Amino acid sequence: MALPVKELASLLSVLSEDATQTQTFEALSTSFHHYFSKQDHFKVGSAIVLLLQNRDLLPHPTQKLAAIYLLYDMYKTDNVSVNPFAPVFIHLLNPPTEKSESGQYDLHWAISPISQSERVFLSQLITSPTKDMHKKNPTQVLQMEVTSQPCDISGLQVNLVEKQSELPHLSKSAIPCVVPDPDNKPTSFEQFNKPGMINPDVQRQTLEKLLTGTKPPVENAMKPEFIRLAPPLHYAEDELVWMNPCMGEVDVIWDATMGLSSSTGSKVRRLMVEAFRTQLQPSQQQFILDELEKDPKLVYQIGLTPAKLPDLVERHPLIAIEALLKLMVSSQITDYFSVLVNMEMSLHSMEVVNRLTTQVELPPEFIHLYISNCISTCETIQDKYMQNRLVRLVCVFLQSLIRNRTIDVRDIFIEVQAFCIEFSRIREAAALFRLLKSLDSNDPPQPNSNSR
Amino acid sequence: MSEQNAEETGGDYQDTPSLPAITSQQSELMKQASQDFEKKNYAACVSNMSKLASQRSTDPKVVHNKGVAEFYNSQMKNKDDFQKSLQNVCRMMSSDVNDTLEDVDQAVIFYNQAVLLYHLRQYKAALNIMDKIAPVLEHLEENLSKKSILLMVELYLSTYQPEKAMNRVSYFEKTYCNKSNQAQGGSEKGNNSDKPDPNLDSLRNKISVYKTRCLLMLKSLKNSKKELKSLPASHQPLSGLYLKCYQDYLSGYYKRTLKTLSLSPQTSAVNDRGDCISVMYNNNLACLHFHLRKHHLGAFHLRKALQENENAIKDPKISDKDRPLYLMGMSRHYELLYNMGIQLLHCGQSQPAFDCLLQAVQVYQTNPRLWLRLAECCIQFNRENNEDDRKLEKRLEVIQNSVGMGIHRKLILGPGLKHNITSSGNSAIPAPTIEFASLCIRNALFLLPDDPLDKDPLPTSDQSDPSKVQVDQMMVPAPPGNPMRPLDVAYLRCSILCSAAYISLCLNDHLMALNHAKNLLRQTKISGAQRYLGNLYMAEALVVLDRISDAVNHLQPDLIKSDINILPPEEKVEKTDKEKDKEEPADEKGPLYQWNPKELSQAKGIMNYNLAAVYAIRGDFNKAHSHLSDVI
Repeated sequence: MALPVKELASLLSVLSEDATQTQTFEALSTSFHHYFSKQDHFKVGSAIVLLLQNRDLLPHPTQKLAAIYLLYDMYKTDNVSVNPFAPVFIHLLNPPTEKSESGQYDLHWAISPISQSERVFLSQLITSPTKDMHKKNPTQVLQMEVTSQPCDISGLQVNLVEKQSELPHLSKSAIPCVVPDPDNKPTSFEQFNKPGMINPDVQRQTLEKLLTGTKPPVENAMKPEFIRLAPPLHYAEDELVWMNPCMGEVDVIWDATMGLSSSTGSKVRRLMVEAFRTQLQPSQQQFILDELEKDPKLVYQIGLTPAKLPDLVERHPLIAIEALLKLMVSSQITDYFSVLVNMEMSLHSMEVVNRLTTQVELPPEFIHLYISNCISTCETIQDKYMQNRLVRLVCVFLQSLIRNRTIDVRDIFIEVQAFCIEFSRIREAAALFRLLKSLDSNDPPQPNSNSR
Repeated sequence: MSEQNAEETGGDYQDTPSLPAITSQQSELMKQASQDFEKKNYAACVSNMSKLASQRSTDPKVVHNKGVAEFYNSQMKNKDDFQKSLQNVCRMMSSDVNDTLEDVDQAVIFYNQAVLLYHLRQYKAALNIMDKIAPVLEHLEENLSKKSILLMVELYLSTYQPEKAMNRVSYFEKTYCNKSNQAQGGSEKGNNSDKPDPNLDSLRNKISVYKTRCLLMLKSLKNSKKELKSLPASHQPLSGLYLKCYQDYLSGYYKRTLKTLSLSPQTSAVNDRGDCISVMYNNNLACLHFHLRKHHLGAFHLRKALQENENAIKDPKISDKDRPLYLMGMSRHYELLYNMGIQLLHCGQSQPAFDCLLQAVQVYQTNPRLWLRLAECCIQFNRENNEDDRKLEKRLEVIQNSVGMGIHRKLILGPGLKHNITSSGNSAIPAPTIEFASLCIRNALFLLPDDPLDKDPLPTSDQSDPSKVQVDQMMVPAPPGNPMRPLDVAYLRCSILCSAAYISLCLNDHLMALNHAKNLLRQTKISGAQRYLGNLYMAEALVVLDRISDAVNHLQPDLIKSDINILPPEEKVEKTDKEKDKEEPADEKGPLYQWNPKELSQAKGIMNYNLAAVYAIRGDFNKAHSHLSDVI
């Protein structure tokens, strides 16, 4: 927004005392537009406002009136309400009583009031300009006799108030940061004893300092500001790294199992790979069983992962039982169980579970889950022949569980009862049902009362 | 996937002929080599193993042990060779440390691989491998099983997962330390006198040390104290002493610890575990000085520690290539830089602090508190102290200069408080600018776990669930420091939000500032100072958003009820509890850094001033004037 020194000189020549006294407004306008183009207007307008705010910088009334005219002239093609300097007109047209109301605040930036004749001229200019107004010169306007009241500008005023109300308060709260601070000391020898005398050289220098250069004061404004406190540093109790000498001994180690059991282990392993795929010879099967029996830890080296358990159960239930029995102490046994529960129901899987129940104590949840799984498989199977077969198997399996008291009938009573009723056409189911009933009526059951 | 893998393995075993039976001569060689190894007679061991390996080139165990022997014989310097030998054995067994463990025989290879990674400080990778050993622990040969558990404990501690480490320690204790206890059923002491078993005792002490470390990391200070007491002084005296100091340090006995620590023996030599005691000594002194608010002294010791660390690494006797394995991870450079940065920040040296923390954050990227500290460096760099506004030179700036002479003299008023924070270039280029601070704060916010206040209130039927969630959220990692407890995280969240609001205001991002300030004010663990600042920031953002009357509500001086303490609220309660418990009071805990305004009246004055500014902006000059005169 800074004016180059050359442009400032041009502006001051347009607004010089001589020019403004003699030239018509039209002529002033022409010379102004000769120097400045449209995009300079706001910049120049701001400079003009600064000049108007400081009486000493635009001392002669004709200069002042010419400056006001230029503010109008720059934006005369648009409606006056969109003229960015319209507030200046409103301020000037409102009689100075306004100022006395504001009382104790001496507003240093207020533009000094204008005479009645100027006010009439200005009001007419912005509301209903006539051609001959531009043909006058400032001196004529100043000497004009006041015959009428200033035109009504309330429309414009309302317009402006409305526009300003849309602006946030913060953008309306600044004051210019140039404050007049006149000094009575003479600035040169000629001015001695003549305080208040204008010194054109000093005036020119002051103007240059205010309006030209990088970041001139005309650009700055002062606003009410917040004190913004920086936050305190975060307080953490235990943030720094404390160092302790290392206490662990982490060393590469020697394989102490070198030379041990690797040969039998690998042989069994090879056989197991076969066992997952196909049927083994009885002798091979026996070899595996014997080795498992001999070395309780061998089971962990034969590559039997939970995922492979179903294959083994289907092909070699005996080996599966033996391996599972050895795995009972392992923490992984639950993984094996869950695979067993969820594998497809078959004679072999049932056999494995049955054998396990007789030899070790299985977690009751596991057995319950297995039974539910069996029952639901029976219910959903499509093939009638297979269904009958499976139901028979399940019934026999359940009877054996109940007789051996591996499970507490009461836990699964309702589920099993419903199963029996659904398949009551099958003899074994009916038998199971009778067994349940007898248990229900007299607890403990008589083991042999329901045998065939 | 495992099935496919199994088939490959199976296929291999089918194709390769099974191992030849071990001849008695070979068996003798094996025995001899094992004995040599135990006696640390590595050269002889290597020669025996080479003979064996030439005869049994298909036996993976033999090949493996040959590699181990050679590695030890090179004084653990040929790390690359050993690594290759391990890979070779893996290939022979057609397994891979990246796959699942198929056979317990592979465990020892996995273990050794994890050891290598441990020393290279690749703890996560090492843990991944150890996790595969975990399910078969009980079936391993006893020594390997013990070592594996202890390595896991070490790894969990190195990755700041004290709960998991504790689980393993308890498991170890249950499995290996109670064997004789069960038989006798006596108390530990009675047991010791009945049947002195040096091996078991040293094992117990070792476990005791691990337990203490876990408990300290869990900040379970009472239990760790008990554990430490049971530890005989003769067991690893130096590390025992440091642990004891650590215990006292965490309990807040800084002066006492300072005394104990300064009596400890010092050497600048690097011990055989790769620890440089003088680095640790100086670092720990710095920690103590930090809490005693002697930040410059602390920075001095850290500088010394950094120097010692540098010296130790640059030891001309050990070039990088033939550095033994256990010295690979000896440098504590980044931990020291981390400590140094925090220390310098508290010294008020924001630029050097920024440089230190910037290096540290590249290693410890997941620590939200570290990102906050970086942001704090930037804030401090741009506004060193809140008192700056009151300095004479700042006050003189109200009138910038005067222009002209005589009748034409004009005063030019200053630009006000607002510093035009000029950003130089891209904000992604690290520099202590407010723009970079905003990136840091964003990272910090992302790294925090979800705010519990944002969670939907859980339906009452899920009573068991909230506890579960809490267990999950127990600790938030803050490497290289100890993990943070939920309470620490709550405090941290307040600090981050407070800085975030400030930074957003500085960047004229007023809507974000409003959100952060709002979020800050609803937190429950907010400190007095933060509540005060939250209201100030909120008001400033609201004014810019032209919500003047809302702003006025946040600037009522009555809002600052009692304190503008910068300590989090619960702190004081805790302290009184502690004092009741203990015979000797801990050193006073308090702010580690002076923040202004110090006094309530000052704080109220600033609030009044801001209130006056709001009224002035609204054009309510009478009210503005009256509040302004309250300030003066």
